[in-house]
Amino acid sequence: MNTFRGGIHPHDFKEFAKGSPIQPLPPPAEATLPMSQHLGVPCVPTVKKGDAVRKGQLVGEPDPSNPRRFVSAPVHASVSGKVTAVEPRPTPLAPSAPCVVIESDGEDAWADGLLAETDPATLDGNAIKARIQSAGIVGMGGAGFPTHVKISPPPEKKIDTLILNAAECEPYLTCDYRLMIERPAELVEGLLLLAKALGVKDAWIGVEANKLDAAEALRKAAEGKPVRVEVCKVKYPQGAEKQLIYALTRRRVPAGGLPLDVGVVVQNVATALAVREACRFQKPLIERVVTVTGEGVERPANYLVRLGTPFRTLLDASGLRDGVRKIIAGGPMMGIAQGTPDVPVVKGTSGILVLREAEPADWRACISCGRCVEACPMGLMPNEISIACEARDLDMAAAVNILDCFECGCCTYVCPARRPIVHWVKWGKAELAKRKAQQQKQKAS
Amino acid sequence: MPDEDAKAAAPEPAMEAVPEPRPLLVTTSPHLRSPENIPRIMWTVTATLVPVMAWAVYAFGPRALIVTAIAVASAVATEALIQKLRGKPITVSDGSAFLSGVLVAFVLPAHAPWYVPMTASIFAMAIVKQLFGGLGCNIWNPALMGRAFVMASWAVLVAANAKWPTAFGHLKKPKAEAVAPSDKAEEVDATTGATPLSKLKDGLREFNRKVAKQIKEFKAGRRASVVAPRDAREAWDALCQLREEQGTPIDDLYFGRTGGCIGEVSACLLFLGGIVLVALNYIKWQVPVLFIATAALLGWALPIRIQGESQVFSLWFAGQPLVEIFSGGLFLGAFYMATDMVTSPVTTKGQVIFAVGCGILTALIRRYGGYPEGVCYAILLMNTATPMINRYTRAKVFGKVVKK
Repeated sequence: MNTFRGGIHPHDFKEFAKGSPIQPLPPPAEATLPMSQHLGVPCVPTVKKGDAVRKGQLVGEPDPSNPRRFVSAPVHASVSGKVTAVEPRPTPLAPSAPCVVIESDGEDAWADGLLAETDPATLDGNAIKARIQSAGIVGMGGAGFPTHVKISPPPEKKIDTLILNAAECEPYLTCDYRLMIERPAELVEGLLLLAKALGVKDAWIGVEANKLDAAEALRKAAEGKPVRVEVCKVKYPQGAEKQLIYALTRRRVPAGGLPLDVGVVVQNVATALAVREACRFQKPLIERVVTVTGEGVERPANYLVRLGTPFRTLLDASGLRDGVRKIIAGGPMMGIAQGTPDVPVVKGTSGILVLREAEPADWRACISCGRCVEACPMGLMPNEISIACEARDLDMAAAVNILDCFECGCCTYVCPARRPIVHWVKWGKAELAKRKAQQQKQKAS
Repeated sequence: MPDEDAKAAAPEPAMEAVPEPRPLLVTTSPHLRSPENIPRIMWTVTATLVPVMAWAVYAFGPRALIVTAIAVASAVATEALIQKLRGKPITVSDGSAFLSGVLVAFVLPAHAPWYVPMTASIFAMAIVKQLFGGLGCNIWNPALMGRAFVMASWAVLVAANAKWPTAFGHLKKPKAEAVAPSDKAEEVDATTGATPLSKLKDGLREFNRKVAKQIKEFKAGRRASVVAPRDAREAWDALCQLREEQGTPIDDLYFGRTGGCIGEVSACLLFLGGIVLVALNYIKWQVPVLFIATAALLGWALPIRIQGESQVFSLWFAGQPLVEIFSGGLFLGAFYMATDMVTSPVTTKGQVIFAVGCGILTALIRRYGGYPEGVCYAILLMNTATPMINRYTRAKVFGKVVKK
């Protein structure tokens, strides 16, 4: 079966929310919209305190003075109402970041000119890209890379394969699974729109083998269309771009390179759906499906919520249990632990995981068991990286390829000495970036 | 954050229904951990040695348990003491010192006086393990170093030519002995003998020595004739006869009805424990398989030297691979010592090299070395080479293009 080298087999914990159909939540009383929900140049607010806004209206756009503003994605109002604040607030990605706060007027009225249906067949590649860009669509699996950038490769890179990442390999999360089960035809439509924008003839869908019913639903929806549905072995991180590409096409993305380098573009399930809605209805990205799950909630569920809805609202809907120790934005392997439930759902929030047990905190010296080396999907030696970072030796860390790590967490999951390897990797990368910036500054002066 | 405080003070309708989830823990991902940890590994490995211990008590008497208890107690106490002196957290509950103590005893004979296991354990824990920084930082396998140390200190008690406890020797003890306890040497003789490997090696050495002596006497004219192999065929016959006289039946070797160290005699039970370790993914099957296979292959192939009438015959491919496999400490070494995570290479490729190296050195020492058994020194030598092996067997980075 399609797979890759390394990886781990944790229990998938999908049973919590797997059976719960997508449930729309009413628009929140107050929506907090961070100006940076994506990788790239942050947006600047286009509204000010007191302005009246309608649903789908632009509230933040890429800073026009920034020469790199192409790598960015606009932010739209997710409710209609009044702007009550333009100020820094805690977000899932940062303790404090600029946000536009909108108080809902309860009318939920769309801005003018939206929702007029167009036949997507009439759109050419550039029109699709333009609609994706203006809808503010980013990779919705968590990383948040602007989608229009991803489908605008430099002319020297020939793209021949488009892959829909339907692996959803993070334990607990089921939002993509529900979309595949409930809306497979729309997904395929969105995927084919992306293929058209890229000028790629056929597309692949990679599903993990623990979601065979989803694969079947997609196969039915894709009948007669140039879409291949492939099943991959259940193994974390099957949904990591490079590992998925390798599993399906046997192409290796070069270390430090991008999927573009081997002619591949990978898109997420929710992203494909957002693309369809943007192309068909000119609908900006203002809502998404979020899995609320874990031992810490009474009723795990998958909700369709507006961006900017506080985590607290979703947790209320699912019923928070006593003794919660962790609230995590995303899945357990790569998600970000939150210090407060008063952060908003953003474009990359695929799930809210509530845990009642914290992972053990005591760690020991490396015992050279080699489990991390076996688990590393990137063929790194996390034992050496952790030892280098523990000794604060940045040169050594760089020499043992710390920069090739994408922090999937396999090494830390398997480590019997409980070493916080990913923590050290994040530290090492940040320090190396700091040092590089300093050196550049010195060179300039 | 002042923002948050203000919010907490202002009553929100949602907050009444939901208890405030505090304190929230903010740590780096991943938030999920495998249930494996060091104590679980150490205690599980120790548990797989229980049948081996039980067999040792059955075969060598309660003395085996006493020696093991002394070794374990000394190891645990030494580690705890040193950690206390260094002001470090005391980690003896993780089972690594306990396991080291057990392994120290398992590579010593049951008749060893109390100070032998004690010294071996103290040396293993204090010098070999803690002096290098504790668990994870030691270069050599502590248990084997402990054995090597007492072997150098009390060669007569531990080393090759010592009389080793015979299996069931304690059961054969004549009852009258209790009447004459003063004659200690006799008591020891009644219950000990040579190990299978040393019997064969000493027998061969004795044979060669005798023949050489005869030739010398013949040349000096003090002897009329020499009884010695005249061709390879006769050398082979002489070897076979020697094996008939000095050899131990394979099934005795396999089940452990033979003399040897406390934990090494029963290949069968060590093999069972090893299978559990492989099934639990605590050790890689490649290490014991390659170690044992290499030692057996070379033990079979490497020439055996027999003194003949006019020349020394080198008999190639004349070894007994099954005897090589099941005798001595090969199973204990291959399943429990060469697989020690700390002192063996990190990658599977490195471990393969390590295991083959152990096998080669074991065979060389067994055939040509001064000791009848080579497993201990073979593993210690390969431990020494581990950092170098690690350097040349690094994992290959995914998608890394090798610069030409």
